[in-house]
Amino acid sequence: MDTSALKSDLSIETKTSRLAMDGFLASVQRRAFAMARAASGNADDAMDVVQDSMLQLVKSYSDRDVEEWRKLFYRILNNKINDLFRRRKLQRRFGGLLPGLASQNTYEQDAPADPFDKIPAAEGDPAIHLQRERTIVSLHVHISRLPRRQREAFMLRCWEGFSTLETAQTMGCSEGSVKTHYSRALSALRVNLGQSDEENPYEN
Amino acid sequence: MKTEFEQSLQSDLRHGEQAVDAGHLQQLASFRQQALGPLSSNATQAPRRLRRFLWPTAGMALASILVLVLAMPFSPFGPTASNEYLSDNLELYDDLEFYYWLAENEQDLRG
Repeated sequence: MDTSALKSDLSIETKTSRLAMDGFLASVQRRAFAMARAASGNADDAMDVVQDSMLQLVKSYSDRDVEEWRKLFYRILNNKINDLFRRRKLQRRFGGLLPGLASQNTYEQDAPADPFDKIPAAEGDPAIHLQRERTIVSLHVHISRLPRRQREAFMLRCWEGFSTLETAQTMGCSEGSVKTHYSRALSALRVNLGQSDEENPYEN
Repeated sequence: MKTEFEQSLQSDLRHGEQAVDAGHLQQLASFRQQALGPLSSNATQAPRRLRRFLWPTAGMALASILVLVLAMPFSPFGPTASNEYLSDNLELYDDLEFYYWLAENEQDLRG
């Protein structure tokens, strides 16, 4: 066996895999951070979530087909967000027992400058731009307050643009469950954002 | 097919992604390179950011010890005090599964 050729083939395969994974992570990093930021209300926590998600995807699933990476990554991302909420719950429980174990800054507390304050200025009426900024921030707040499964379904279906099937595969549930969670999420957001009721394609 | 409301939400959310500033983008790129490290031959994984669940885990252990001590029949605080403590903290028992998950999850994350 020509070991030098084999090593060369493996090196090329590794480089190709690395390039493919690099390209994929570059394509999702911005949205992943925005999603984590919206869900958690905290940029530092969002950074941790995205970092952990990237590490786990590469560590556990880099040998999977490229077509599977997107769904796998968002499943990992949602799991890391859920882990964050569980840690916060624990911090709230024991924060009084251990000094310094304060809850992380969230939308409810005084937070440092919100990076979403830097939404790029749009051409045209500044008032419209400002209103859009406020809408986006408000939307993030209400997304963070959705129940877990509704939040996941909404971020995958609406934000990422997954189909019902892709969302179900990512969430590990049936398409019917996705439709239910998504419908409820939309209804909640419609009420909280002050939108008028309109026909929902998932309601019969 | 998405409704007008859904399209509006998607548009706003994707527009908001553009607000990620250069500093955060640089950090994300750094995370990407750290994550890709294992895909290079003989590369070692870069150290991760310091995890912040050491204190919660210690707190969990401390709380468990406190509950056990106070629940003991010869507790110096007396049965009345321990009963009051237990009655006020029954949710600790309700969330034992949560604490076990935390301990197990920490081990997995540490590898």
